[in-house]
Amino acid sequence: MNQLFTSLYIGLSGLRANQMGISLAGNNVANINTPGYSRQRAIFAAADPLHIAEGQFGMGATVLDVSVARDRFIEARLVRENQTLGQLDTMSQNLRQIEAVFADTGGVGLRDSLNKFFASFSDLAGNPTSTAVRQQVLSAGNNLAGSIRSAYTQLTATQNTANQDVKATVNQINSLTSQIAALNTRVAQEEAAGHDSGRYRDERQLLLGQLGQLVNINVVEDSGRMVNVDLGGRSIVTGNTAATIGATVPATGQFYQITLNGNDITNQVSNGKLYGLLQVRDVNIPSYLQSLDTLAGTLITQVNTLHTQGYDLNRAAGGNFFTPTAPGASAAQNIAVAITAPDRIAAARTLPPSGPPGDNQLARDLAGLANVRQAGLGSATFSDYFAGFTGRVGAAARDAADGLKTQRQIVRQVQNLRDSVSGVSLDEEMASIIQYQKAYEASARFVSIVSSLTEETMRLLGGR
Amino acid sequence: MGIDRIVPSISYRNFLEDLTETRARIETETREISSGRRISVPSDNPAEIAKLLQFKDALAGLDQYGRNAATGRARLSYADSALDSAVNLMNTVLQRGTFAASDIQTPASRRAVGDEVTALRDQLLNLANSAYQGNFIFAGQQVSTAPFTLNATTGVVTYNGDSGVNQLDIGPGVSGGANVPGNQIFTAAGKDLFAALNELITALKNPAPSPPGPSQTTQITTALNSFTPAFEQLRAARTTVGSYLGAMDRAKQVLDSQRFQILSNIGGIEDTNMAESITRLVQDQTAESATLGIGARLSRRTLFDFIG
Repeated sequence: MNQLFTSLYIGLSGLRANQMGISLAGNNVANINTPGYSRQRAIFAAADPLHIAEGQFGMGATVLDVSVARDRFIEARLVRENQTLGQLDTMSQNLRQIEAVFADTGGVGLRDSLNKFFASFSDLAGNPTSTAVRQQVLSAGNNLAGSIRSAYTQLTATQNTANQDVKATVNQINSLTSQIAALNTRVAQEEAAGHDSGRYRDERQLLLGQLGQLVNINVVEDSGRMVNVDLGGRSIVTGNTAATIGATVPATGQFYQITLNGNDITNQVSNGKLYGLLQVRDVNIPSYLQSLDTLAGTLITQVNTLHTQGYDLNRAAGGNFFTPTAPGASAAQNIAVAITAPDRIAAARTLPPSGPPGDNQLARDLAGLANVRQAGLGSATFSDYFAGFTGRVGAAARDAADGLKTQRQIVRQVQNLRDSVSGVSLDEEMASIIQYQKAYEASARFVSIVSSLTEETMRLLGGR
Repeated sequence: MGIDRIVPSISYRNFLEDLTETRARIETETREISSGRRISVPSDNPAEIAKLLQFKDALAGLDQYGRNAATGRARLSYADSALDSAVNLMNTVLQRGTFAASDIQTPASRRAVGDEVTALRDQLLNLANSAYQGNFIFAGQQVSTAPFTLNATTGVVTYNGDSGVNQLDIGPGVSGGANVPGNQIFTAAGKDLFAALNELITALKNPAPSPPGPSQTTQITTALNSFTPAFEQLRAARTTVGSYLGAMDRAKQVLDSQRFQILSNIGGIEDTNMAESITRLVQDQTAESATLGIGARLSRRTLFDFIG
């Protein structure tokens, strides 16, 4: 009798354990599309045996643990690879936008304006006294100045957008770190008994991956199952607290710098979207602006130097063609034609005894500037300098795009590796469900048999 | 990186990214084929873009030289035809003068010829003051003022222009003259056409020279003889204009061949290699179809379909 009742418990343990197995498989199937979910598996063990005179007597099965399939090495690698992905993605987007400003392969825009400007002086040499041709020189000059100013404005607009993105990214980082800190508490509570907390750990890992896309982070898990996150050696998540980083414009600056506890940590940022934004804002665009300034400054000086050597239609000495740039100001931002009246354009080098000068030498010299190698442009002509500059912009955009393509492949591989370990397979889950179902059915059958045996015994006892 | 445990998320991710990449390539190839150009933004070929732009700038430069040559050609052609008329006009003067020098002429008929020659002189003056698009073409660089003025009383023609020749740039380092100043055509020292004409007119209209001197016939013959160097100067000037015109034409030929060379350089960098691009497009379209076919089977059967 004693043994029969014990057998009921054995059957019951089988029902319980296999039911749990079925539930876990069902839960895995339900979460097959949940981002970051790691599949779970029941670990079965024989229950503690009963020690009887004949030896040990098995007491059925028990679920010892729920194991979560994860490879922490691969998970950490995914966080790292995401950082470069975030950086290259941002740089590629921004540089593509900048490239569009100079994508002048067809014949509109700055390069074309530059060619037409010098060509207009050549036309003037063909007809130095014509008001119509002079008007064309003025409009070619205005177009060129407008193209340069417009390129400058578009670059600074992109720079300002990147700066605003810096602020937005900092906010995203703070939101993620505070969520990670909160999850640290949950994970620590859940895993106090030593078990993997499953969904909390999954969620925390997912957020770490997102944080990695934004900024370079280093993640270390402590003995209390909490992760400590640092940004270039500065701690931003410690246990259950997150440090808020700031984006502040310094008194002497124009753009946001990244701060932590009032200290500037901008130089600690070395990867992720935030780094990409800082690179574009502080390295790429300033270098392009500088090149534009050099081009515009040299153009203004060279044209004015020649133009002031000649005589206009009114026999007056030629003035400045372009308004000279004020000291310290940006030539590209401020370039403008100083002349408004067509007859003020100087085309002649010699002044006749009377009447308007008909000599075209100065107009030829001004047109010839197009072919003169300028010391200020590294011994390049204006158009060669601009062609080289365009090549530089294109190369930067290409490098970022190529890097991004490669990094996408890498991240895809690491994600596949992660899913290969942690992802849910429907075949496997179905096989598990059948396995548990059969075991459950057998256990139920066993309970039913034990039950009928017990009944039989009771009947025999009652019949005496 | 071999992965031995394939779960649905891996298959979907691979499918999606392969499809995205294939479609991006198809997009690029379609653009290359439809536009005929394989470079539309600098990043399409940063290594070649600077060279490409330099070629295009050089092409723009050649086009400008071509326009300059056309400008010079138009003006010089106009000058050439004016000088052609002047030569014809002078031939008429010589004819009439020779006719008037004949001994059978009377002072009255000679006076009539004198009036004719006066009219021809005024026509020559008009030719010498020819303007093309508002610019006096025989004024040197003083194109805004009529170069020759006639003193109605004395008949003396004076030159108000200068000796300037405007050069036009018609090739890299090549320039050509665009005008011949009037004082080298009509009023060159010792070869002054107007002075010769006036001498002839005076001879034709003065039957009884006083103080007594050579006969009117002799005066007319002398005047006709003094024409020779001035007429030669006019012809020489026309040759100069012709040689300037020739320079403009030659420049155009040189520019055309340079232009062809640069265009072929540009094409080498920029033009789509159609055979190659179309082959790649066909390959990628095949790959796309195959990828899509695989995608359609991604929701492939699992154990769930067989056990119910």
